[in-house]
Amino acid sequence: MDPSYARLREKGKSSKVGGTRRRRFSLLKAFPRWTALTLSILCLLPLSAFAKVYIDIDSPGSRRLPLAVLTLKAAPGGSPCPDRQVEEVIEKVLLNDLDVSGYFRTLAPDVFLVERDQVKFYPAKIDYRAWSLIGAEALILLRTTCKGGQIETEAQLLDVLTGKLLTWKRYKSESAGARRVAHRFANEVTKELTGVPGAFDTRIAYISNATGSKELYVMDYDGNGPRKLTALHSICLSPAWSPDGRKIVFTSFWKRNPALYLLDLRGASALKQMFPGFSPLCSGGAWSADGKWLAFSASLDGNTELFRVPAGDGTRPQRLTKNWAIDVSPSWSPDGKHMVFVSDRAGRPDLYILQPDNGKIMRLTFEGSYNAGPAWSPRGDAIAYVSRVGGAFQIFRIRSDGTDRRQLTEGAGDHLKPSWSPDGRLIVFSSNREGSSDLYLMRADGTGVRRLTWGPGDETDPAWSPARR
Amino acid sequence: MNSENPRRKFVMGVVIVMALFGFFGCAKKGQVAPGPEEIEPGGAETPVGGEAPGTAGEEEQGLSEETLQAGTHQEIQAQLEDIHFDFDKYNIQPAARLILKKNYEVLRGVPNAEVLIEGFCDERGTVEYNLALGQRRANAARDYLVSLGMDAGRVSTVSYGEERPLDPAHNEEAWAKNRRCHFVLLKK
Repeated sequence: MDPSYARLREKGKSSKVGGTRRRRFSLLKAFPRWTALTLSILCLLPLSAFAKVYIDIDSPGSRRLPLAVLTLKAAPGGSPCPDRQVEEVIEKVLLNDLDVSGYFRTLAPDVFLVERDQVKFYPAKIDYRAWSLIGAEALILLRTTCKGGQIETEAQLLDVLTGKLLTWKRYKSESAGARRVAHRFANEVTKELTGVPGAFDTRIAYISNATGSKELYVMDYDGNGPRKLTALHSICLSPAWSPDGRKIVFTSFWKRNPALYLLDLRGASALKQMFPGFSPLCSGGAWSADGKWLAFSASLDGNTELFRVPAGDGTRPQRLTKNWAIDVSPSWSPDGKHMVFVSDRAGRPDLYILQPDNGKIMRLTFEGSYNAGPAWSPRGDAIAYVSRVGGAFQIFRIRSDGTDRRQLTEGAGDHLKPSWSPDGRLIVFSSNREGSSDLYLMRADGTGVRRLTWGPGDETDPAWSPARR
Repeated sequence: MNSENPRRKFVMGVVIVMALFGFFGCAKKGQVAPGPEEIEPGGAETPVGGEAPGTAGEEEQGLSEETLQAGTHQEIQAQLEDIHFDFDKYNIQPAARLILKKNYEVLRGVPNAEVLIEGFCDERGTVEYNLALGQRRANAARDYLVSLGMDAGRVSTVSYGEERPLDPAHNEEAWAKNRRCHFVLLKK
């Protein structure tokens, strides 16, 4: 069988091997921008600016690149961290990210043939044979120094077979930002080896009833650091991020009837109700990827219809559907020209695709007795949704032309509310497969399922944030 | 309702309710039916004993004094029954029609009664679809009450979707209980 990835070292060539699509990437890249946050990045010169690496980004998990991660001692002259805690966090988080992606097989330190003292970061002194002997094809070296509350981390990605330096980054951050440093470098490693950056420096908004009422929360994509964002002592549902990651729109029963509320994550007390006239039911907000439109569903006097409104001006929502049936759960295509939604116009919930500009509607799903909860992939190639199989709801994916319908989850319990990572590689969903409802991650092909939340309450309605800029 | 004598209308309504209870032979309801107490101030019209099932009569007698003051709203509320639905359906079934008629008669007896209809679904399906479905159930119940003569301006609706289930269990029995509309007599 064709290997799922290939690492070729030809100049300027992309390849097609055994019919598997390959992505080409170049090491020539723009310098990352300084971020507005405490984290800062310096891009150091890649030594081998002409290397080409090819890896199949479409089937993670089937053949993984063996990779070793080694944390070195602090730079000479740099102050070492008081304990190894920060270094360990960075290494652990990075290893987890690489494992989640499905592209890599990280080697356990107990097979390493060299001690960390024997490796010199710069000028590089690395016995590549010692790494290739244990099967490593790529090597990541990490080095962190601490000063006051600040940390400075350098990270290198090396090609073990050629000895080439693929990328070298320096991150400065508060020590509380150590996890983000690891996520940022995981994005970078993914970019170098697949051509498309990872989306590990992201968050997931969700609903939890841990306090007794359903409130809005946010956590890192890997489940770390859950934070409660609301204290409405009501019911909050269906969060959705603005494309700039600064706002979350959600549904709440705060003023009796379900209505849309907008939370500005940068404002102190910036919660406001949207479209107060859209009553008794207004829910399911969804921003278009360019941030220009906000779609939602509302029931005014009759059944529930879809609306959209220019995101800057909340005053005159435009009605998109008009019929006797339920129309809910809009999700935009990445180009903003289409919208997938749920309607029972054929007698049961199914997915339909709407072109908001001309009102044309096409039915997408025909199989299954209950199809709902669609989420259009940020890569545009698939729509994730839930469908009832036997007595349980499972997550499926389908192309927007109705082909290639695939079941991604199986087993007992319901699997609901799929939401894509901004790079389209991962899906977060909620499931009660282990009793109470919790959030789970999986790859876009359904592999690599892992649980994210472990609290006593029910966690539901996950929404993956956009990539941080 | 623009009756010039709201109290009289209220009294009439309660009488009708009690008559209906008698007619449908609802022995269970007899235990909580507040009819006699409320109509006592009206004086003459206390025919309940004659029409209500005999079993109810004794208990109603025993409750007569306390409910005059504070219990009115609560006891009217207790007469408003839930209606139920099939999975993913919002049509009013024959059994629900009878209940809606009874609820209408109860509400008709309350001067300027305002009612909130709460629509609920079972836990199966998506949050968003169930919010819409619960709203359709509430709308269907509202439309039926209005068709009976209820003033549409006195009916409001809210959908809880799959939130706040009456029975939190995860089985057919609980789901059947949770697919419902609940009627709340609003306090003024």
